Amino acid sequence: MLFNSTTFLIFLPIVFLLYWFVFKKNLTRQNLLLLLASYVFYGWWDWRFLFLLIFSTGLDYTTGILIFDAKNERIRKIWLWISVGTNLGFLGFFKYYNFFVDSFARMLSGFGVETNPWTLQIILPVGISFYTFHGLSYVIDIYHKRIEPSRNWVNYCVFVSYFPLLVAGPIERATHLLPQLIKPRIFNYHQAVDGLRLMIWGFAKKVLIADSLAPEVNEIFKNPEAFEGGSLLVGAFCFAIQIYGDFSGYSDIARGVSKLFGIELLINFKYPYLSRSIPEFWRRWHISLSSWFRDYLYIPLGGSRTTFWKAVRNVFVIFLVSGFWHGANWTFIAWGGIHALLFIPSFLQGKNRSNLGDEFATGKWYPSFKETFQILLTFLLVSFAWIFFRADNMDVAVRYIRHMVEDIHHIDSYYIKTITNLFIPLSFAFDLLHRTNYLTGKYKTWFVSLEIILIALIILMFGNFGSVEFIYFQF
Amino acid sequence: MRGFIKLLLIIVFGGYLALTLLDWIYTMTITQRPLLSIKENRSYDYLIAGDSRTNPLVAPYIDLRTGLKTINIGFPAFTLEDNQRIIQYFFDRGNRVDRVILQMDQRFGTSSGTKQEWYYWPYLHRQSGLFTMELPFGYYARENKNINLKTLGSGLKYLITVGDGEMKLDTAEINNDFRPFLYNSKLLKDCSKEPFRYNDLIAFDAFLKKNGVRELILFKAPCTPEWFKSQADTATFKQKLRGMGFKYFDLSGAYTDTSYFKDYTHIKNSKYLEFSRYFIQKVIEPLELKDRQTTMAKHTNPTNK
Repeated sequence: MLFNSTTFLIFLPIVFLLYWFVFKKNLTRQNLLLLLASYVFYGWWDWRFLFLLIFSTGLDYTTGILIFDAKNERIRKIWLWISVGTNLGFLGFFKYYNFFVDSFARMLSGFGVETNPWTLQIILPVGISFYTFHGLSYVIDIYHKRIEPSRNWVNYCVFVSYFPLLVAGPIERATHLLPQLIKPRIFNYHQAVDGLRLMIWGFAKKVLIADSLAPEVNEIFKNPEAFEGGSLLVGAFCFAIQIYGDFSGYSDIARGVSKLFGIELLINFKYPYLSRSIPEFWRRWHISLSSWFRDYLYIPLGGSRTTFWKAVRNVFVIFLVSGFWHGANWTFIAWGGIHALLFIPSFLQGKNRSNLGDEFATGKWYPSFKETFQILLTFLLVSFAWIFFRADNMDVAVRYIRHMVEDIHHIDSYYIKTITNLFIPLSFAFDLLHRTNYLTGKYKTWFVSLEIILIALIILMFGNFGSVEFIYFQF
Repeated sequence: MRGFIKLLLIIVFGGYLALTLLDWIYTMTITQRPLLSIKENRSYDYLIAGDSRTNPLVAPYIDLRTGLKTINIGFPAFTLEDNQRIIQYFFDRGNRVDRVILQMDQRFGTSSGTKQEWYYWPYLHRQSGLFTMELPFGYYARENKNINLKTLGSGLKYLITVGDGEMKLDTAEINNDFRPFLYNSKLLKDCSKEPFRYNDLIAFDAFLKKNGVRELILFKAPCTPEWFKSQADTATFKQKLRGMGFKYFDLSGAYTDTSYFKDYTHIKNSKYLEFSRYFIQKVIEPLELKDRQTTMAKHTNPTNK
């Protein structure tokens, strides 16, 4: 089920009404309803993959308890690896099997050995990367004794399958979400209003910005040679804005929907395109994933508190794995590699933690000249890396960049118009609003109503409908 | 919870009121504008009519390639009656034309409706594309063309990209400055199952002849192979039209590559010029060869700008 579909518009009010009116007084029933709703939400896409979701949930639930109860360190470790191995095994099979088989066959072919690779027609279960990471963080946290396992099957299932975050995150932590699921929930007017507002702003980002740029981006990446170099540069900017509108829009809707049920989800984006450096960008882009890799991969590998070369290796590992997490394609690995290379200079200068905790133009309305330059440069570098992320394969990415560089001085006026689309500056304006804590302010009913009606009208008149899927569904 | 329900009700009813108000303002504005704007006292070689499927025929481009004055007044979802009405309007302004080319297939044949059925409340929902097309900011937000070629009749300047070069046509150069301010068709009716009304076509032909048109030419625009296969009665239809003495050019199978289409029956904007060129070769050139005994190869050669 898509957030931007009519089905969801019917589904959400039904679940909301049952949740607050019928099962209001019983926490267990409320959680059971959320679980049932989540399975309906997921099964709407393909009910067969519900079994995989339930199996994965059951495995982590059981191994979590077994790890916690085990007296012997060796047994704890065995259960941990059973859980991690099985989870990664499923992920590897559904997401990466064909990639590995193909790559291996190509490598052999490079040595002159021709093989007939045995690839499979595998459907990638929606959200598998997200719910697998939920489960992994849970068992690893139990193993490291950061949390105790949940002994309530329903609560745990809701933690893994909670429908607002099931298919495209944010990637939640048990330490953040599980405590909310075991506490009785009381309807909070301001939280629900915040939820509604987040939802409508999220829809606006998706339908007005991301979906209106999608046709241009698709056309340009399909056949880059057919366009002028300048247009290709604009195409890269367009994709940068499209993916931000798409994914942050989804995260906003997810957080908004969850607030309606009295549950807070992690913030996934904090105006990333207003970052002054690549390290700052990574603290603001897909925060739940980057912090996941930091806590469960980078730090266990030694992080930066190790020898120089190991620290550099760790930076590359985290970015390459992060790229590979997005999909079984060399383009994603290249994207991760480029970000590692862009990150390393700051890392070597010890500046990767600068700007930590502050943001541009602190205490002012506008950024300084230096900050503006830093923001633009960061955006340019990030947009360059997005070319690899968006291209269908490495060949397209290389041809795209080559043609863009060679023909940079030519541009089709149409693409100048595209980049000046009214809603693009609006998306940045929205980010600035975020910065002033506009969305969490308490406003009068008339103001909220007017705001929501106005945005809804703009969406209705200018929105690009047709249920275009969210980009991150494929991951 | 009560406060939240109150807020939801305000949003739903407020939204409904706002939509109705906007629709009313729009309806009032649109009905006060001239229905059509068309140049007067002109003489054309070809008039292209039909429905949205004639949009890919870029009249200025046909002019440029063939030297034949062409005007395209094809409107989305127009019926035969709608076409007759608009051509009557064209004649009433002192315009003359030698030949009329009409896009025609089996689906063509519904009865027309009235403008009131078009411009009220459902309009916002069902025709949002046209709604924004009419508003100044609609252009800004929604124009979505892959080449710099505006939809015919948009009233904007044309910028046509041909091969590596580019030619700019100012408004003064565009001989079919035609602004569609009002559609007059009953769109909501499903006409796919209605039998074709051959007698109406004969009446339409007679109407053209009466106004000095030498010949009515019929053609069928390209469609995807899937759609092409679903048109079971094509052969009978074609045979019947030819039996009635009409020249019928079936271009429905022109492109088998589905990347040429934005849906089953409509060519992508980026292929407009290619189709216009194809149309010259397949329809206009044979007609002109017969008439004037000249070759038009020099006009249709893509390298000849």
